[in-house]
Amino acid sequence: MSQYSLEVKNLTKKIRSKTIVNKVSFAVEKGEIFGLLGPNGAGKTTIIRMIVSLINRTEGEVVINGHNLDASFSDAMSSLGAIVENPEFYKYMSGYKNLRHYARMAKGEISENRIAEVVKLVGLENAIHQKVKTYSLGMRQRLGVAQALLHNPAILILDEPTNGLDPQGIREFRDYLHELAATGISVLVSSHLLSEMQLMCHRFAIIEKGQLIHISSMDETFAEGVDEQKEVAFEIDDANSALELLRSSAVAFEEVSLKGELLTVKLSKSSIPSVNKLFVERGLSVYGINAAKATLEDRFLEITNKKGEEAKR
Amino acid sequence: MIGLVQNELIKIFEKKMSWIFAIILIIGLIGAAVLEMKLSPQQTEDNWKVQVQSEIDKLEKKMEKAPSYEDFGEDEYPTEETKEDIQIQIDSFNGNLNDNVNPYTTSWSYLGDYGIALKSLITLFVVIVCAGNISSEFSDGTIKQLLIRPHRRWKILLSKYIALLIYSAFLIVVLAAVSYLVSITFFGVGAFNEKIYSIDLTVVSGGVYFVKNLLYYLPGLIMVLTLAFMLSTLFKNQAIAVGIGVFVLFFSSTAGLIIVSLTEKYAWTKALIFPHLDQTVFILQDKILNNITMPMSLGILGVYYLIFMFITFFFFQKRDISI
Repeated sequence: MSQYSLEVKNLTKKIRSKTIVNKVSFAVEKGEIFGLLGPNGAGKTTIIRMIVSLINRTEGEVVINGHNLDASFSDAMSSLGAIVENPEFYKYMSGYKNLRHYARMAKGEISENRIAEVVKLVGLENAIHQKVKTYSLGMRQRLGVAQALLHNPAILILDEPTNGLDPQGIREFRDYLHELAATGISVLVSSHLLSEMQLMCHRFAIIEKGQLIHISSMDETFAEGVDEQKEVAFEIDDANSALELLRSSAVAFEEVSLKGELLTVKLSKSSIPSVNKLFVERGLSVYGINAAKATLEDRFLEITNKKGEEAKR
Repeated sequence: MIGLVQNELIKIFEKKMSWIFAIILIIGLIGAAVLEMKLSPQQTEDNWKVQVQSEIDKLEKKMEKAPSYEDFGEDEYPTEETKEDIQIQIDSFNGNLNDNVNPYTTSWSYLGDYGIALKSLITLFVVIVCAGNISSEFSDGTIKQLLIRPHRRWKILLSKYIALLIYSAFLIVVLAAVSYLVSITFFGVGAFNEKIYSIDLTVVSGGVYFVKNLLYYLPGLIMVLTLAFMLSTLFKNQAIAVGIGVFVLFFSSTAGLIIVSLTEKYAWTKALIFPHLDQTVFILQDKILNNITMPMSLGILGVYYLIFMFITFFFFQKRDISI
């Protein structure tokens, strides 16, 4: 068995002479939540739809849980569960009948028990026999997860899954995904909501203009060196004299802003304690020190800008 | 494959519309029988010939007193039944006696008139259901969830096609069974070989005429179904697919008539699909458009069938689902 739930090699999509997706390759490990990031229209959705075979590939190979999509289509498709954008159901049928419908399309027999189990997992026991048209978007999303998990797939593929969900729904959904990943199911998720992806994913790839321009884990991205310069905000009763003091000291820093009691400067992590000591020894009251955490958004912009500049050169 | 067909049948029959169409057929059949009972003269004697003879006698008595058409002046309209009017009625009754055709409604004449007429409703319903079948999966977005299963696209498409054939068969069975039940309930059981007038007033055997009409209707229905199915795969919008399907259906009978007048000048117009969609004309005549026999006509339909099926499956297989 392959160590990867999903391997994508040289995936390319051309429509006439236009290249929508250009030689994208990546792999998703078992139990990993992998994010595809990128602005709208970057080709994320096209990549996902090629993987789930809704869109024909121009070139490239997709291997799902060790099954090649071309050579063993039905084994490969059996190993994936997907929600493509908003999960759409037959609204005139009950949630249960919708699930039975998809169960009948699965490769192996899916027992009544398995359906009940999945329904319980997504917490729809009470509504499952109501027609889908009575469901809220959140409930439909959960039914979407249920239909995707029905046949015990190795990988769950989600395209913009949080579109249209309220904050409560997004949070619930994220918790689900973490629970699932803990049981060994891999998740491939695409989104342009960076803050969401930061909380959701273990690893991510950035897609821009149809190309994969960056791939790394969240931990790598946010691991910070001790000497790295970062923004630190000091809350001090007399911020003006604090700034004067800092200027006359030997500490390497860069002034960012001074607003009322808030002095924001850029300096390395290692010099925070000595600066604090300096202030306290001069009798200034330090109410708070706040080192700004880099967000995925910052990293994303850094990466995409750098690539943009390289391209210009 | 059986599971896939089962799924598609469930989806068809879970829609209320599919049942409403069957109910409309049933209401139409009962309604026609009730109107026929109320509006047309009914057979009261056990033997219709005795009744017809006594009607003729009554009419002849009436004729003695009736004025002739010539009794009225040139600018006047006859104010009462004239001798000539009555003579037409007598001739008609005599015709019934000579042809051995009961002029009062019987079970077979009801079936031959209304049972057959309502099959055009079936065509309309089948077009609506078929044209909406795949296009609705596109407009509702469910096609995405349907095609990420471990089945090749052609298989899913074929299962839909089979399910639609079964639904059409269901409507035909409803029409045949309910019309027969209504006919014997309202007009009593008639002999299978009872003579009735066909649509062009030739004398035919009622049972044979009815059964032949349903059988000869099938090729045209399957063609229309296949055409609507093709439209359904080509258009993502359910309303457009159904609209075009219904338009083609209504246009086809008009087009058939236009083509009849064109064939003398342009022989190739005989190969257009429209005049061949209604195979029931071959019940009463051997040839249409001068020299086209039924096997030739069916052959032409067969070619169109293959083209439609090829387009349907080819496009569906190739299509990128990007809604």
